[in-house]
Amino acid sequence: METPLFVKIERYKELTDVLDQIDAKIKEATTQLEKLKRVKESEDAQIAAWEGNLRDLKERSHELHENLFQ
Amino acid sequence: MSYFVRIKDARSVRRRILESSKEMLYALKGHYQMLELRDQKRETAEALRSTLSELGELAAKLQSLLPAESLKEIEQYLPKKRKQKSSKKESKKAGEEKNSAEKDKSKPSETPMSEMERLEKALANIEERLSKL
Repeated sequence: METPLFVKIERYKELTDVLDQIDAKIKEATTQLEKLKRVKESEDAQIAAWEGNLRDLKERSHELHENLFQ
Repeated sequence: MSYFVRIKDARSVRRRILESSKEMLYALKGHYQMLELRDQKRETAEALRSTLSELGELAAKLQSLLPAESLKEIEQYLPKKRKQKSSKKESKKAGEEKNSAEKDKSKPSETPMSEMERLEKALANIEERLSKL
């Protein structure tokens, strides 16, 4: 059978305060990470939009060539 | 030398040129949006780095508030049955730790570590302590 073990913790109140602060910081970091992910998604969307822009430009340029030089 | 080119559908050509200009302007607008996004990303990453650094400090503070002895060190205060099991290992490990501590002391002071090296050392230290648990 396991023997119970008791460990004396000095400054218990301070310890619980630090744990609370750690929880708060973890929440803060989670929010910041979510924001970072959203910004990254916006960047990816912008890159996709550029791809679309270039595809359209290529298409129109081709049409102009056909209209002007054929 | 100039050439005269016949345009079959002038209206359509004008439309295509205007649409192309519009597309290019959208692309340029996107460029400025991208610059803003990069600023936001840099600021957020910096804030996250700062929060993680504060978390590291809090973790160190937490560690300082917890008992300094490891579970194995505490076990020596438990009844003999449990003590005997670990006493051999304890004495061996204690000896090793002592030796490594002496070795560390004997090392000459090194140049200041970079942040990356400091983090790697802290990680290695934690890994070592975890493996001992």
